[in-house]
Amino acid sequence: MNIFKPLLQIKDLSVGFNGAHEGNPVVRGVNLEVGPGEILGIVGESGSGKSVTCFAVVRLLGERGWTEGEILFDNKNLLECSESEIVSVRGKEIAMIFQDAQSFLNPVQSIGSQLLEALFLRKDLAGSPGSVYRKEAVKLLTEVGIPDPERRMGEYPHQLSGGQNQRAMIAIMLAGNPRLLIADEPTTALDVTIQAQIIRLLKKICKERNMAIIFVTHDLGVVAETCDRTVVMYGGRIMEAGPVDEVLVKPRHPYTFGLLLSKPRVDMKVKELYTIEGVVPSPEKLPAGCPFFDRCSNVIDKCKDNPPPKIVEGERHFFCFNPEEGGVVWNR
Amino acid sequence: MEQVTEILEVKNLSKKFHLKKQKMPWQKKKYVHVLNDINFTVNTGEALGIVGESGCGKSTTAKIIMDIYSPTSGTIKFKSNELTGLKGEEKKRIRRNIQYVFQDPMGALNPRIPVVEQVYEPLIIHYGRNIKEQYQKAVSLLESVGMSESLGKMYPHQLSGGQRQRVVLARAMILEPEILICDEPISALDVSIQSQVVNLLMKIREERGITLIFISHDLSMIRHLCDSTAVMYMGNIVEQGLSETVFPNPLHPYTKSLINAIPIPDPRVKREDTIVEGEIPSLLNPPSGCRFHPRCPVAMAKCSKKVPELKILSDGRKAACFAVEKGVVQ
Amino acid sequence: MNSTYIIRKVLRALLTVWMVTTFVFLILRLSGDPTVSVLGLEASPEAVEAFRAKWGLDDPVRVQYMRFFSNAVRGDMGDSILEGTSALSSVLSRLPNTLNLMFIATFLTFLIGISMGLIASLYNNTIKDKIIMVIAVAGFSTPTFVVAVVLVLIFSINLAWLPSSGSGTWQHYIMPILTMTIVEAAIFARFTRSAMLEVLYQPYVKTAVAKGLSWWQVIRRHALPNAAIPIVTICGFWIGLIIAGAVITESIFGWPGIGRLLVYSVKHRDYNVVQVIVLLISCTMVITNLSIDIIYGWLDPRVSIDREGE
Repeated sequence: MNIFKPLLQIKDLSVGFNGAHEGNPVVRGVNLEVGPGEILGIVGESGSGKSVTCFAVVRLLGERGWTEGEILFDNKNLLECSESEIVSVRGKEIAMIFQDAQSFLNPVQSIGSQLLEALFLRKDLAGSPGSVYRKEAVKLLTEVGIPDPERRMGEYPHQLSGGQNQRAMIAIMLAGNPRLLIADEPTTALDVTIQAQIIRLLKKICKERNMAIIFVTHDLGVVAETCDRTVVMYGGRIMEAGPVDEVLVKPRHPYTFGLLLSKPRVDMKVKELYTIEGVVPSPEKLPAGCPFFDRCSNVIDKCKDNPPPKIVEGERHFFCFNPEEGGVVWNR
Repeated sequence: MEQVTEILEVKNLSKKFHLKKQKMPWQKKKYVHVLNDINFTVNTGEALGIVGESGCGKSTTAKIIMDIYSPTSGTIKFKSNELTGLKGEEKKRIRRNIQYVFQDPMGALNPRIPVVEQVYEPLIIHYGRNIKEQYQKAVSLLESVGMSESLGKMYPHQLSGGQRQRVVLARAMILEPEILICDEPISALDVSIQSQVVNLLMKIREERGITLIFISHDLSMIRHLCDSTAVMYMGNIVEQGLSETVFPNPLHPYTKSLINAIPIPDPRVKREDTIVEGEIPSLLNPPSGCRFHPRCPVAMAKCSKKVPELKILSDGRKAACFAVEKGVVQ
Repeated sequence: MNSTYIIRKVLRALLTVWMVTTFVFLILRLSGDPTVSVLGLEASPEAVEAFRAKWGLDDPVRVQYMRFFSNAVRGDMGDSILEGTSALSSVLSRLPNTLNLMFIATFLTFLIGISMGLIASLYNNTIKDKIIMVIAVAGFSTPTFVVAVVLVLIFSINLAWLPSSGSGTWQHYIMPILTMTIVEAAIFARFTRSAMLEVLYQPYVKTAVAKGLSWWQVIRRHALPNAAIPIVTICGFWIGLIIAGAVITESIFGWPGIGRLLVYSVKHRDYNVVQVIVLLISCTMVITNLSIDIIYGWLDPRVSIDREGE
């Protein structure tokens, strides 16, 4: 194998919430890793557990959330650190951006002061005069492509467009020079031309800063354009994971297969859309076996009650008793 | 071949909203021009897709056709009836031929009434009460959209998003309209549910020969579902034509960049990196001339001065662009 | 925030003051006149006639109103019918007593109410939260006069520690202030708690945590400034409550302030004094609300756009 050294390793992670679905984890047995200079896409529908997994990494689940397993960042288990240790990881080692940037920015603070606040946490700048911080802030805003940054610093989130707010958010989160950026559906709320710009920006940042990025989305197209490797989740479990070039071209798991074919393509005429029947399961109804069993066209008897085996094929793996053959999906 | 008949004609449609920002009586009123001189026709049985990003006016167009907003100027003709001037009983009779499906099915349904009752409610409004027969009709319609009778007795919150959208679709279909307008009907749904609803829409079209106006920002869905497509930008139609003409070979620079911006779920497809720069300008302060010129890669001096007209091209499509007229864009 | 915004607010404030005084003027005239109170039931018709002519009570209401209005605009509020001296000075002489009470009560309300609310919200769902909320619910569901009567029963009658009425020594202050503070502090505590809890669940608080701020920094820099916005808003209602509270408290404890004067003057139809007090109260309300609007615009940069943009 190559000398890939993961920065973040999630091992056997389960996450649940006390209260509503007590004892029913919304994420079960998730394993994944991401290394520097790499964009990992986590893709899934609502309730797949993709966002919850990310919130667990920075321990943002709230008081009701519980976790099991290990989240190793630089070989340190984040789930076992003290509160003050995790505070020193957030922003400085692992940063996070969100779907709807405007509501995730403080409405009564200017963009500049929210950015400066993040810069003030930087140890290497401590004791510098204010002008150094301001210069650094302008530099960051320029890096994320906000025109006229000096003026934008004095403006508030409601005065900026959705795309500008997302850029500002990225600048704020880059302020601490993190090594891992978790992007939770960062382009879902944006128009497509703006989405394309943000994707390009994130790819550029990943390359220039040799950063690791976890990109959460429900759009396989975005994964194909953005990510190096992908993890497909459904009902709190990983269905299939591996390099984008393999998973999205020759999917082996019936869910990945169905998901790819149920969306039309803008660059070619698709005769008929594949339909995955049924509804997305809610966490209290998840079976012991494969959560996709009741919607799967390849379902066999043992799927419901037995967790499917992990099958490794080169750099890709998937969990299925009765996988697809793995031909190129678009030549169907 | 069947004879082509126009079912809906939208002519010179414009809409401006005035902002209630007028703080003192002596200050001038401000307007936002949301639609500028929109023209299109829809043929019987056709599916027209209207596509564009936020603020392009696609939803406003639908809402004007549905009489939710009144147009500032322009006319809408259904068959031979002028819709804008209708009143009373006649309005009710003609209007029930056009039905509407919203983006947010939860907001379109009453949370306190079982969904089946909401499906036949339009019948009561239009034809008076005849519960037994109407209930039967609602149930059979729900079944045709894949919902059982027992699901019909549930309340909206007990259903999933896709099921709610099926209910809304059934409710829109119960008056047997000739035109169905769907305003972003699948945007709020999960990907695996979207294809269910879209396949259902296609089935309804096939079975009933209904005319469909499908409004969406999802270009790939429009290409899949619609015979013809109108691309809108900041209140104007910039390109319009058959989907299989427009999508493989877009002419207007905006259409080009829009199609280029759609991610394709196939990593083998490598496209040129031609992402359009800049943001969509505010409607409060629109650019002069062609509204796309500040972001346009092929803008000429003329573009900032004059508004290009939507002109018919040799392959039957229309485009509003000076560069296309001159043959700069192939 | 711009000048048109402020001009609009000021114009609206003046309109409010005018409407309140006019309304009170009419209501007072419709509900009888002071002749009986001043002269007694046995007064001779001539004396009544002379009294009414002296105070202009025999003119039509319209004429009386025009006279009142033109005098008021020039700053002349007339004389007290009962005392014969200037109505304005008779009100102003009692003003310090009321202000003393109100300032102390306000200070305590803010201090106790807001800090209890903050503690409850930060220790949400713990025993601290529950104790504070039980006390707060009990506090705000008890009417002011009941609090006053219970306090008198305990501290004056049973324990005989504090005087039940009058003013002068520091002991006299205790019960009126307690009466005015308990109810209002309870309202503030509850409101502060819910405002804070709402803010703590806002997405931008997550961002603040994800940035790497400590919990206390998140509270101080992101939660508090946002929670302050709704709290400032209820100060507008609260100023009305505290004035109403003062009227009741002063009447019960025989406190020589404006509240008691108002009740007395209304009872005896001392038109001009009532008019002065009403004008004073409505000006206070209007100025408070005006300053709240201005503070609001300063706390929340969205305000001048969002509120006016609808």
